[in-house]
Amino acid sequence: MPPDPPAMLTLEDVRFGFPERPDFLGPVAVTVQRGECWAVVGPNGAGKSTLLKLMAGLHPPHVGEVRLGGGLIGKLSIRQRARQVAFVPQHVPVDVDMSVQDVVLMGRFPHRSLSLFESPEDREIARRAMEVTATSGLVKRSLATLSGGETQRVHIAAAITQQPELMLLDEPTASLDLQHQLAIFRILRDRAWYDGLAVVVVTHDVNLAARFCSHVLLLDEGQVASMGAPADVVTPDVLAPVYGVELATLGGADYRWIVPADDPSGGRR
Amino acid sequence: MIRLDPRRYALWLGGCVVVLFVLVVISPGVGTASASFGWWDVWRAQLGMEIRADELAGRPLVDIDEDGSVSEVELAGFVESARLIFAQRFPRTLLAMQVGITLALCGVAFQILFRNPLATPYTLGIASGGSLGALIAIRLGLVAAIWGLSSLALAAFAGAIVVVAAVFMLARGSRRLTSNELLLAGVTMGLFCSAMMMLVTVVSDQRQTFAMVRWMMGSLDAITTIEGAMLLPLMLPAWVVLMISARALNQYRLGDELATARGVSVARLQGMCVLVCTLAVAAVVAQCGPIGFVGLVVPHSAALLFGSDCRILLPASALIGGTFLILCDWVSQLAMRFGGWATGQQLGSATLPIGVVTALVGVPIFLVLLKARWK
Repeated sequence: MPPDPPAMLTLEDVRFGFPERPDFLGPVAVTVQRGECWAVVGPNGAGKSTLLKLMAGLHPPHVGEVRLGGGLIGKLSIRQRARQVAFVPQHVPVDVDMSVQDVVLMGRFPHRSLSLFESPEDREIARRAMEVTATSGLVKRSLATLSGGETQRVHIAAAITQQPELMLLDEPTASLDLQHQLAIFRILRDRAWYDGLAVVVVTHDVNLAARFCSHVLLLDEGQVASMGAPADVVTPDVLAPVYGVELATLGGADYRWIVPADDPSGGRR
Repeated sequence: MIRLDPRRYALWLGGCVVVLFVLVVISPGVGTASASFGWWDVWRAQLGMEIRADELAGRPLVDIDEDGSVSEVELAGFVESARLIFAQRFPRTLLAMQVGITLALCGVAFQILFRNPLATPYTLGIASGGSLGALIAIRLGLVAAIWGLSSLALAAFAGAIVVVAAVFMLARGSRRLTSNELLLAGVTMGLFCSAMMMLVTVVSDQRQTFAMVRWMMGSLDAITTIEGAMLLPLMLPAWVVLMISARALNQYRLGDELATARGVSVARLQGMCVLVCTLAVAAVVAQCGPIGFVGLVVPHSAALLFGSDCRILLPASALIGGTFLILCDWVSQLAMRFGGWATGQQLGSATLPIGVVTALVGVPIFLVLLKARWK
């Protein structure tokens, strides 16, 4: 048997902290393969966004190694890294008076070093990215005029235009309605399935994570509480102690939904 | 809707280039005595082309002996005067263009770098520092020139650099260009410089005070070609660095995190741009005084017309800035003549200070553009 190709992303006993909290995160060890879609879930302040930035190479780990396709991510120049990893932050300034077309084309930045304007191939790549994110109808609109769901899809289109092998997204569905939440998770799952991208998405919605992602990583106070297939992680038994609420399962064999099982009166007896 | 059609941006930019070029070409003919000296006469005299005496018949100021014909002596006098006019006006136009381009480009850059639409090239205290330096030089009576640079300009340049350095020292703890600490430090140093300038004014005599007030109003006067050219080594780096950073600045607009993830070295971009802009703007202030509004009004006007893609916005701002300041210079030269003619009095000064004109012309234009955007 030929040896397995190196995993897309490997974190080996990574630890990270801030001056005021030196032991904030870790140790975390995780391996993400091409074609996998990972959800990182956990309570607020568990270190989800920090873990994502370590994966993106935006923070260097204090201990341990982050490897990208077998090589250390810290050894790459930031432009080389940007050709392989796309990152969609949680907060992007919204009052930018640029057309959607230009914002999506900006994803080509790491691939073009000298030319000031994009080539026809760049435009074709951007056109396809806008097609799969259903943003083709917005090309002429200014970014400042879009709704939350549209803005998020545009930034994802730009990330796809970057043609990365690894795509990282920080709460892309926060403050979006149900329809847009579903649309965005569908886009991410399809990129992993059809394009073989490795996708890691931080989210608060454990049910969407369970339904669309191939793997779930549950963080609790900077530690990995559980990780693996959704069926093993997204269960009341695993989640309840981490979130500190009672949980119950609804639904049948096709879909199971985790819901809070708190006293419906909210304690006002 | 005031926005131009994106497909025609190249056409509009080309139009701006043509307008700027035309303004530069005809500028030697604009000003006092333009009835006698057309711009083509001035160019012909400067370039040593033949001017026939009979072309000049009937021009005021030329036919001195009033015999109805232009003699050899009068023709020679005309050519000599035309050359003087060229030497006086053309470098001034080039300076106005340079200053307009620099202030507009640095205005765009500072608004983006600080992520603050109210940032101007003077936000870091360059104007206040430069003014304080200049006022001290006037008070001390420094008039010597070193390597062809007036000590007044050198003092203003040094003052600007010292104050910017002090602002960065004060805000050192925050480490971020977009932080409030940096802006507050800039405002505080500006107030401190204002107080010091008042102090310097109080301990100066009347003649010095007058010179100080005139300096503060900004001026494109008393400029030789070499003085304008001496500014280029400080201005050109800013023009070049900003233009080649246009795509990186676009990414920077979308936040530090996204820009870094896309392969922009944010700290290097900020450091580089602030350095070249500071030097360029300090050079402007040192030579011309604190000319206001150009660095605020031109970038906003250009953005309203061309959008905020830096690849278009930067050249558009530069062209509009250069054009704007040349036009303001014309107004400053012609306004006093017109005012004198209209009121029938001899007004105190031959030209209106350029800083007054940029404010008088710039503010209404900006208000119109702003109102057009609200609609």
